[in-house]
Amino acid sequence: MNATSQLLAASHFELFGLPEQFAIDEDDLNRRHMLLRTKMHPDRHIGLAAEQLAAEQLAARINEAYRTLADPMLRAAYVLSCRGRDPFCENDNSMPAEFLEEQMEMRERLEEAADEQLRQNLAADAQQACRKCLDELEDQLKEPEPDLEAAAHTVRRMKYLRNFAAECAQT
Amino acid sequence: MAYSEKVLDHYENPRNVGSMDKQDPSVGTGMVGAPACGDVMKLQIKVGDDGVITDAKFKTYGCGSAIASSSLVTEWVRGKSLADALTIKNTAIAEELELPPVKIHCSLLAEDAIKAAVADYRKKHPNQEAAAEAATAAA
Repeated sequence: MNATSQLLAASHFELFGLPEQFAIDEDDLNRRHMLLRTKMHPDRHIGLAAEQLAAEQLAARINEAYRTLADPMLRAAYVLSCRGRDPFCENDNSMPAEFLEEQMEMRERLEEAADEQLRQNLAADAQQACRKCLDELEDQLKEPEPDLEAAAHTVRRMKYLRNFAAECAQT
Repeated sequence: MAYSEKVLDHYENPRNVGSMDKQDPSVGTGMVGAPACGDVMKLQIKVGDDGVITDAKFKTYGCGSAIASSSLVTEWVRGKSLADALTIKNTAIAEELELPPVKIHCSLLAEDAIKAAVADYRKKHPNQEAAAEAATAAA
């Protein structure tokens, strides 16, 4: 296997030379990203078409890995997938009924919200709840014995809350 | 991604949007979600004493395919018995709406919603269907 295909097959964490865990030093990740990007920039491979194509594939791969690791929710989901508990597995739609009720009610309130202030309040509440989810994830994904099941549920809750916050911003 | 005309039709003119009182004994409520998309879908059925679904309402916050799938099943379950409603398969929904493979899970969500609504109604009336059957057999 050549260097490019090795890098293409690497996990997001391996790509950046980081351990496979939720806890991450964001400045460190950003530095590693910059370095890797500079080293692999497609423009450095002008000339051979095959080499340039490989470099472009790698650049896309690096972007995807960075996007995933830099976002705490996506990073948590990725760590869980690596450990065999993909929180977004399509065959598993189980969500607590009370949580879904609550989500439905929040969206109904947003639809009915007449003034900007109310919408902002709803968005702020959702963002606050997202931050709480992140605190929970830090705890649930603490090595060496992370609680994968609990973390998967937190990630799923957070996905709903984020969608809602985004909807608040749109309307 | 381009939606089929049928999806767009249900999306732009959704059938039977609304809510019923979930405490009402004649109402069964199914609340389901697709965590991968952050979708939430509520499907409610109103059932007569003969065990036939007389009305259905839905409320879905999600993508166009999820809205169209739930809108379509509210049309399909009307006039059906609970047992017949349970035979509605997601593959039939996906086929009718011409859903692309990446949106098949939306039709599955609608199927789950019917199942949940029927289960909720049956929980409220554990003996009704057996009694209705016995009455039919006796007549």
